[in-house]
Amino acid sequence: MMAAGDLRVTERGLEGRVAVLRIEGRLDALTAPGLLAACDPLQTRGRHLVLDLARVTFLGSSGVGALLVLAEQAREREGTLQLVALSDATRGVIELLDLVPYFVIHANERAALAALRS
Amino acid sequence: MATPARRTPDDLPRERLAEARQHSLLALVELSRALSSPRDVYQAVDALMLNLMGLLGSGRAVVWLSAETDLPPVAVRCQGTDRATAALVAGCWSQLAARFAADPRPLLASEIPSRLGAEPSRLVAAAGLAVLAPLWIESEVLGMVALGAPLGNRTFVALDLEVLEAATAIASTSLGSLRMQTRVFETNRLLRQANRELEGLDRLKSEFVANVNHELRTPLAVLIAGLDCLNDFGVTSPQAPDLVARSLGSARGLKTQIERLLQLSDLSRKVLLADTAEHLAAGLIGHWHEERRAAVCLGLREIQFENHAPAAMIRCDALGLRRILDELLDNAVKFTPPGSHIGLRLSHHLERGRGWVRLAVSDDGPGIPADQLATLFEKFRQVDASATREVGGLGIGLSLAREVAEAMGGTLTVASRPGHGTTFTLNLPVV
Repeated sequence: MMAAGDLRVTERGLEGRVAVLRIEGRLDALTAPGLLAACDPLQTRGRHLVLDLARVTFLGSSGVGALLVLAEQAREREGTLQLVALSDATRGVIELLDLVPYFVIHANERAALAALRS
Repeated sequence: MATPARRTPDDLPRERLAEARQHSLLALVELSRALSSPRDVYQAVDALMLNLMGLLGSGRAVVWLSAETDLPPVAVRCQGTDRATAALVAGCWSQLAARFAADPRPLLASEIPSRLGAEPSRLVAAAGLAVLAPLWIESEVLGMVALGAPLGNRTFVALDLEVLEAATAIASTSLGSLRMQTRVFETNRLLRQANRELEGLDRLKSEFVANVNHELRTPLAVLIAGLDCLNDFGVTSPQAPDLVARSLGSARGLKTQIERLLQLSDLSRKVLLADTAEHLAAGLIGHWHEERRAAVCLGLREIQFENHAPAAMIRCDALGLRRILDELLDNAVKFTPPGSHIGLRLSHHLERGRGWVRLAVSDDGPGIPADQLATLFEKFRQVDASATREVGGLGIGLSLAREVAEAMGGTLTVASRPGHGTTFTLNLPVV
């Protein structure tokens, strides 16, 4: 687990090419670098990163920026970034920026893992 | 290739406009908080880049900065495009800087052909960038941030460009403050260092006076006594040869003592070894790194410290160790261009039946040719004169750095290949 400021990142599972992380707290300018640092060692070639955002209390611009960086890094390494369990507030920020089609979003972790298996 | 972004009036539906304004306002507040006290230039740039990417929904961003007024900027951060392509955009810097000096507002890529010409437009498009905005430090355009077109189905609207201008203004203020603070801090650091060395020299001066009293008076007394006797007995007396021989012996001894006492290089070495004690290696080196980091980053060399020996203890003079480290770091800064990376790696290993700490100071600069490598640690070695003239000569020199390291029971070595950077390695015995 990694904690920085108001953000906690917990590794919930690492199986083969799929890593699941739970993100809790604020994802803003002060904590976004911490998210990138926590994900960095997991971004290996072909790996899919699943981020559970159910407990994200605030998604700021820098948080969105960090998600965009992670998505691009995953793409470069022939993997994907999957976002699951977005609250109304966090989904609203992503919708405002018309980024819903850009991210891979699932209702929950099970749906994400099922999609990856298929 | 970037989708051209067009400057339009606020063409969002009213309810979307209100949400967009709130999002923008929160983003600017977030950015202000993050930039209120950044540790160094790179942390400030990272905060700006992430904020803008999320603010405008862009997957591509580049930040360029200049270390000094007359130097072209270097791409210190690239996301979604490669550094080489970003460097080509900096080739149009004089035109871009002139445009921003005349008009500080963000510049859309679609406006570049008519304002700056075909070549800048081509380079910006090749990097996939859609908008550029200046970074000002103390009334000078010393950098630039650029973003790709928004992902998804958006294009830039007027609100986006206003907020981009506000964000870069916040960042510029922060960078200007950081530069001023770092310069003051660095001046204080050098003054404290000079003070400590003067205190050391003062102590040595007292020792020197005490030595002179003892080491010089005795042979001088013998010399004078011999010459007095020669004077009394006469130069042709039977005792004369013996008296002359003794006086000559004392004079030569006096000469040797004076030469030894006046060896100034020995004095410098003594100052750097005067207060030897046991220290936590990671504590000394970590504290030194924190003191040096901001100023090194301000010169656009990114420095990172990896500590793999958190508990190792060494026996050394803290000032002496700091001066060795300063010499190694100043060399790395001196011989690498802006945009380079310097790594500090502290580790622990066993060799020859005992424990050692190893600090490797590495850079990704041009490296040192083999013929210069062989003579790097020689006293009075003439380094590249132009590089030395550009930087103040306040270091102790590699020759003295190695002497002090060896006096601490350690070693100082270098490995380098042209085109592959340089690594200085300091080994010190663990206590």
